[in-house]
Amino acid sequence: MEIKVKKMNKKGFTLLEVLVASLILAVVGSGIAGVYIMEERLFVRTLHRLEAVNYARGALEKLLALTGGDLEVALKEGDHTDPEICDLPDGHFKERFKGALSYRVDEFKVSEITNAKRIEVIVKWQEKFPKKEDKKESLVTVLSFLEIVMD
Amino acid sequence: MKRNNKGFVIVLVLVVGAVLSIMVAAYSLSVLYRIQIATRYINSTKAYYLGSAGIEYMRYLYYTDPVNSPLSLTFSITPEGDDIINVRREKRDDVMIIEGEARINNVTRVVVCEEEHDPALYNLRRTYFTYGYPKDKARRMPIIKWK
Repeated sequence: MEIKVKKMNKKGFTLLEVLVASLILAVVGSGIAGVYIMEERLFVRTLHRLEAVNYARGALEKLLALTGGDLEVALKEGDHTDPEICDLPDGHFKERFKGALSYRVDEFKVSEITNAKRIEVIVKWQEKFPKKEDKKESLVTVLSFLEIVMD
Repeated sequence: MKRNNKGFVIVLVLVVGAVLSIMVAAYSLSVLYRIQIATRYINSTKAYYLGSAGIEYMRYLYYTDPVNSPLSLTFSITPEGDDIINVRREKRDDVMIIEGEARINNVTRVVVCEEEHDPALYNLRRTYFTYGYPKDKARRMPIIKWK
């Protein structure tokens, strides 16, 4: 047995040793590659969520900055896609991932008093990898309509 | 010499493998950390607008009926109902302070509105600022809105 080991060492690696080592390397490597790919995918998806929330934030700020008649028109109950508020900038999110922004207004009341409006800005897009999947992010706030009431 | 070569190759492969594994692990951790930060930013943004909604609604209640409007409210406004908004108002000297604390997806944020107080005039000077959570340990953020 001792002689065999010495002989093996002198010759270097046997075919069996190389095959076993390759197999171990392949198993470990594919595991690491799998984790890497999964993380990259998750990271890209998170970036898309981030981008969507930032677009929603921009639209919501535009809405909150409106006054008077413009505000009244913008806050009519229902779904809205007014280009001035809802247009996304040209780029990969709009074109490649079919990003679209809209907002919904409905009546909101906690007590019996009404006339406050709930605004939900919704950004939808389509993830491409590993399969096509519809995604959505939204920001919700309340606008009291106080200015119109007090006028 | 020949006998040592095999051991040397094994050690070399193990060392290179260990270094690569550490690099991959470090990279993975950094990616996970960035994902966590981005997710927190997303939820924090949502919580900020929810807190603002609480303030806006409390102001609305107060200015439509200053006598009977509540001092505090708890409600939810997202269609999914996964948020909790707590709003409180109090008057200190001539300033009304409305504090909206919103929680969504385990992220809490406090938005505060300080307002010169006059029930007859709703559109006085208002100062908004916001905190992270818990409030006493968080840095007061810069003023974000002034009307």
